[in-house]
Amino acid sequence: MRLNFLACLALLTTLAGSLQAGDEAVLRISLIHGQNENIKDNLADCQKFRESLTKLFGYQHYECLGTASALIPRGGEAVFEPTWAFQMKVRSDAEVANLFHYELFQEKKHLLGGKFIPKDHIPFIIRGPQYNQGILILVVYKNDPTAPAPPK
Amino acid sequence: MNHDAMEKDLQSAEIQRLKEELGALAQSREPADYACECSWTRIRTCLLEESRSQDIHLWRWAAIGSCAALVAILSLTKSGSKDAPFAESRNPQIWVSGFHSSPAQADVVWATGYDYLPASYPVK
Repeated sequence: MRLNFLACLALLTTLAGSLQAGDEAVLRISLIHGQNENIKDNLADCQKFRESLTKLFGYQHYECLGTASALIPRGGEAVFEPTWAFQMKVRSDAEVANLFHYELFQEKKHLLGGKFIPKDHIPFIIRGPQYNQGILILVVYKNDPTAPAPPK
Repeated sequence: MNHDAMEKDLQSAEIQRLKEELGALAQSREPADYACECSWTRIRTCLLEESRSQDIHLWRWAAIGSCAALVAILSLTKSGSKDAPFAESRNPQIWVSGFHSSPAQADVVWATGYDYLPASYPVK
């Protein structure tokens, strides 16, 4: 009986914590350029992240071109502009916790949109257009201290 | 009617017949014969009852196992589809698909059909 009570209490605490965690989120969006040569690779400190990109795209070097971050409250929205060329409008769903709707633009031209559930330590990666001899990649992180820092 | 159901019906009929036989014996035989026949009939009845109850147990376990497998499959497929990112494009040239990549440990939107950006494009 006592064990049941303790188990219920633990469950309620976990639920309350997850609800509170879904009220707001810090999102960070980076624009990455992947190419095999002739770029400044500035993701040396993010090995786990590099592995994800390499498995998906196969390039050997990755350069973070820009990063933008914002705190989005439940039901709120923010426009991220990691570089001048790409904008991403992100809106938090007012009814479903931790669900975000996004629209991706290139110079105000709508490219694509959709929704995603950000997870700690799991990046949300969007394959962008081919650029130069490589590719552009947009990466969204949630509360991840291992994510690439803004370029200096 | 399948084979199992037919067999159960036959067993039920056999049990009923044995019970009637037991009743008839009780009225027609001498006390010593009656005790002997009665024991033999009871053993056969018990064996048949046991066989039938084992069938029921097997059926129950099979049903429980099937339900558990179904729930597991549904929960796995539901969580997978619920958590994967969704993407769509109004531009008919751009084709998009959202999925979770386990090898890369990332949620991915794979889009193709963009216009190529040359090196001269000022992306920064």
